[in-house]
Amino acid sequence: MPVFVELDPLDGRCYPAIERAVHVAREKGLKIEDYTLRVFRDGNGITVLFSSRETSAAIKGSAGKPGFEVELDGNLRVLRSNFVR
Amino acid sequence: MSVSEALHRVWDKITSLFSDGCAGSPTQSRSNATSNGPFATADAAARAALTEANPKSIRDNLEYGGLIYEDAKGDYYYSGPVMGSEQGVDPANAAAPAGATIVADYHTHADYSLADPNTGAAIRTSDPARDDFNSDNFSTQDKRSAKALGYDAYLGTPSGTFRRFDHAYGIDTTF
Repeated sequence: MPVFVELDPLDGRCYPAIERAVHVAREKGLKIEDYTLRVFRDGNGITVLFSSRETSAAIKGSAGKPGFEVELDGNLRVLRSNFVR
Repeated sequence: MSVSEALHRVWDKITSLFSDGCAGSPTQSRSNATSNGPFATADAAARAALTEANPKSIRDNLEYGGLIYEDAKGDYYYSGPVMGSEQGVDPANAAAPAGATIVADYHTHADYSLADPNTGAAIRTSDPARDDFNSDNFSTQDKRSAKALGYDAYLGTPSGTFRRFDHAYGIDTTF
């Protein structure tokens, strides 16, 4: 079974992770409305990705405004947050 | 940025106008970049590509990328590398020849950097302890891209380590 899977961000089970990640992103000064949010299961953790609207699937890293990602464990503890390249 | 870095960037911009299309943005137009090979395996082609691209990427603090492809004889080659931006690159801007089968892409993560708090621009530190980009690892966007494109991705990092992401199983390893 693949260990990296995109989840449906509209699934209510993703909401707690998104809420936690948005808090972290706002602390970094991100304007959330400038980004598209995506949620991934990566191994045992959950990663919330904030992508600029210019970043298509073909792009490695970020296009336009730099993206941001927040990795959380199963208890929604923040393991890592960083800008995306 | 040092004078030497600035001169390198200007020179690369000038040469890329003649060989790699309009460089400097991950959304640049596609080019007819030169290809390199043959190699017996995709890993061997990727290693050669990253060995060429990674020192330039660290020197310029810019991303570089290209494609790994297979010809009709089963030999492997790499295209590019083409220059991207401080934070991204579209490897397909280093086009593969018509008829070739694209089996992977590669890109590099430049040097360790902080993000400018106002603009998000990358500010080189050359220090892994002062890096806002997790530069030694694939980003989630890198992995998303590999899954969407349907082929593996290779990465060159500022530590000098090369990584491979298996798009089918979602597994990230050094190679």
